[in-house]
Amino acid sequence: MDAVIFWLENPMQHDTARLVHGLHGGDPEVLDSLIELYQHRLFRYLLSITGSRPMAQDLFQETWLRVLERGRQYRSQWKFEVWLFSIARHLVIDEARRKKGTSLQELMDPEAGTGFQPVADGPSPFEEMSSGEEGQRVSRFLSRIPAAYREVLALRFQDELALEEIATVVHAPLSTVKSRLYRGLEALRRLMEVEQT
Amino acid sequence: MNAESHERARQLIAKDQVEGIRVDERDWLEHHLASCASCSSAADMLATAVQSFRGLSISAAPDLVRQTRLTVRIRAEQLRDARSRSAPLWIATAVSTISMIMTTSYVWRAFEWLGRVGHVPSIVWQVGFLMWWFLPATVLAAAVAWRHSLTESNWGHQ
Repeated sequence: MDAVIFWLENPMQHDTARLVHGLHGGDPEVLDSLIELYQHRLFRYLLSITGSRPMAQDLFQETWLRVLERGRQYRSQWKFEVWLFSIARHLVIDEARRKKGTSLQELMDPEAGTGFQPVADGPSPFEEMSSGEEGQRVSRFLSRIPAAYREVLALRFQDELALEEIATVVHAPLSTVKSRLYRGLEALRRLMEVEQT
Repeated sequence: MNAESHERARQLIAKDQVEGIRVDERDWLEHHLASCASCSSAADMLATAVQSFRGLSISAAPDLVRQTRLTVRIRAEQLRDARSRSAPLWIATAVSTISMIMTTSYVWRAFEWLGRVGHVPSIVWQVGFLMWWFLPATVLAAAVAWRHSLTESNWGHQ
């Protein structure tokens, strides 16, 4: 009876406990619920940093397999999506290193390299996957800004993560996260301005 | 109005979107925007961009999600099988370690006695004792490694 009252009064704690227990035990039912819950957010995040639909699709599956295999490392005090995005980000970096042989700094530093950019010709993957006129317009702009800016913009304005959580995902100081957000927004604003004139 | 106030307004517009601004900063910004068409237009543009970005709908394809669920489920079952198969190995390791620790002094004396009776040099029976110590752990480690490689290779063939 006490357990039922505890569960009724603390559904959040119950969910977290179930999540931790499920991840530690590699419970396929828990994994299934997590895939259902985070499918679009994870795919959107992967697309925002890779700028490539096939790569995002490959890494989507790879990320969930890694979540299953590394489930024992998950701690209840962590926000699940922050841990999920960190895993996804590591896989993207590993994959890009394997394919291009470039360094981590070159990959994600907009000043040091090109990052993961969408293919130049034809519509960008963002345009292909978004719907509506306004969506197409924003997608066109997104494909023109560096991946490092796109990544933090997606985490902040689509996933609504706190600045500190973004810093955890991208393994960068808070000041760097803020600076990337400001520059990303500035880039977005300039592109809109150019289109209007 | 000078260039400095326009610059401050642009910074506050961006700061408001990223981390929020203080009440006094908001009062100043609203006052500035009310009398500056250019900064007001920049603020509207940025707000529109953020709003559009928030509303951007990008979804994972249902086929991809279905395939991922299936793959994860198969892998979870394989991991579970591998864990249940390796449980006896871990129990054997624990039992063997505990029994070795408890019997060390007796076995040492037995090796020493055998060495004395058989007129074997000390170094030989001491090496024999060490082998007795490490052999079970080595065999178990090899068994665990073999089982792990078998699981990985089964997964690779899927």
